[in-house]
Amino acid sequence: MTDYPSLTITALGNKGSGKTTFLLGMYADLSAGRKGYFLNATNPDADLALASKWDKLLDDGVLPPPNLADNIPYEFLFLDGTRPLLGVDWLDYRGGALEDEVGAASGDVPELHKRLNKSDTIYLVVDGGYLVRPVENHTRAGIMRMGGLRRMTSLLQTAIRAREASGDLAPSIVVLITKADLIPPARRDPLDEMVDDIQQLLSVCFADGLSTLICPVMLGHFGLNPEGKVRTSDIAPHDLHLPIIFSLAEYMHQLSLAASSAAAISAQRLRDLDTHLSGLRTGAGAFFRRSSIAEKSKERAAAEEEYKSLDVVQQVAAKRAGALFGELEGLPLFRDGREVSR
Amino acid sequence: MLGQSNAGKTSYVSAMYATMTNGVSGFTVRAERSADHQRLCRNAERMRGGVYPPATDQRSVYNLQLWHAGDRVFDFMWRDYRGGALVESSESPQAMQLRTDIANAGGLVVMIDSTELTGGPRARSRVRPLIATTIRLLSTRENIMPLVIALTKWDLVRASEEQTQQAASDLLGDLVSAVGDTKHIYGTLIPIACGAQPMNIILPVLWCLHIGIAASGTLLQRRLEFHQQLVDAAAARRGFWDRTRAAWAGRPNADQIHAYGQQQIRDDLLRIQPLIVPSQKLNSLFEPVFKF
Repeated sequence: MTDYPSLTITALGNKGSGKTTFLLGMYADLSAGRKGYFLNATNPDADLALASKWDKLLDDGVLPPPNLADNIPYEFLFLDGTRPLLGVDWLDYRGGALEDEVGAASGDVPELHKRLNKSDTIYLVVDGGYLVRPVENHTRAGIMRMGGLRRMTSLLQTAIRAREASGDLAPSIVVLITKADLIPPARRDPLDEMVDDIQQLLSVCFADGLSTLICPVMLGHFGLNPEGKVRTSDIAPHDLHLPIIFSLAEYMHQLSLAASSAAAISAQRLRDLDTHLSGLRTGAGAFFRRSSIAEKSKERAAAEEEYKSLDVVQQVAAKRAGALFGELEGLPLFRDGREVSR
Repeated sequence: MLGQSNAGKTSYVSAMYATMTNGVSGFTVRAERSADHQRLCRNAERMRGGVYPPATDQRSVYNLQLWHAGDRVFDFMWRDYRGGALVESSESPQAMQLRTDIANAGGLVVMIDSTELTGGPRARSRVRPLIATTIRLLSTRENIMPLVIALTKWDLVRASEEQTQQAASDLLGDLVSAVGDTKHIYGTLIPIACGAQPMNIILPVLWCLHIGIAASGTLLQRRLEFHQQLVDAAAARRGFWDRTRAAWAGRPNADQIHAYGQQQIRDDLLRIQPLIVPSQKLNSLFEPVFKF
């Protein structure tokens, strides 16, 4: 992981919202390759552990049990073909961590806050079961409470403030709607009505400075509250790879913006050095300023080198971001609260 | 050789050996150990009668030699192992051995049971560990390497060949594209059958050897160029003053470097020479094969 820049992803969701199952499905899907991209656990044992739980679902219809015991860290490598692009640091939280208050007996709750503060992207996992019908005034409070959305909002606000205070960019956000099979097709396509509901329920995600993707995903057609076991013929994973594609697209987008700003500063410095050098070379005294000229020329060469490399980074990152965003066509994507979907 | 249990790994190595030991287009393969020769030939003989070798319960390593027109061209090691080791954790010594073998492999033959390709999500799940392992290996490699994806038991999917081809394309398309985008990994996808009517048996092993020979040839060519430069530089410096200065400094003089370089060139040429004809002949064998 040390050889590549790393992306920290944290998924927030109530017990049973489908965080762990989503991780298993996403890994099973992307580790076999999707649209030319691969996700590979750096530890082969972790690869097998994730895959074996997924296989249990495919073979016997056994839904993965919720992670109630431990926080399980995973390190992945995201590859474009055989070329590693980024490390991915993923923590699978034990169910219930979201419900506990800081300072409660469980030590992983303060850890969750720390983790959120360093997360480049945060997934807010919303159980699709809450979105079967349009959200109305009298149902909103209940959904927010049962879905853990109030707590998510508060945690997200704290994380955004903490990152702002330390000079970091706000995390990108995915509103991950799991169990999308429960939502009637008419509400899924187009998503407009559901987007309105999400904007009401998680308004924090649509504030200035935030990039947010709304992404419904499903593992199959399992119906409401499957009792630990499903029919294997009902398994039909859908769009599980898109949230992480968005995380990486946003990372590349931010990288390209940062490289562009740095390149602009570098270009200004180049211009200043050119002006300075031109002054040194002008007039009869130029002969006596040879050592200053040599020194400034050296500085100029270094600045030019820096400018060129920043320009390359900017172009590569922008191209990469464009390709990744292209995969998200049709999904509602917001920047600063405004929809910018393709 | 990577593959899930019952993918046909042991059947393949046996059928391949028996075919190659009889010679194909002037090439033969010989086992260093006579016990291996006997075991593999016995397996192949039984397969012709419809009896397939039992699943391998432990790793087997075969030291083999490729011969062409009486010349020993290339020595190679073929590793077969218990398929289950692929999906076992590091607590299993065989899994650890397999991971070490993969990391050190000069070529990779991925065996996929064609009869399992059309099984929907389950098929993807069966193929997934092979893809993940292959991608993990390839992401760390920078040197020339052959990759064969062998679709085994192709004789059993004849009735649904088009459907199986489509499934293979869906499942393996990303891996094929990933390898196709590299300049150093040479991939091929070959349907094979080892039963009473064998099909494409020789191609996986010969592809590995073809690329292996090409890689060796490239290395030798680079050595040759280096030694030629050494000889040219030494030739320009030869003379009385060079000998005097070298003797004073206690270093080899240009005459000695020149002679050393020329000897190396002769040695390199001797090593390259036997590779040229086999390499050209092997190249022609793969004209109809899908390469990426």
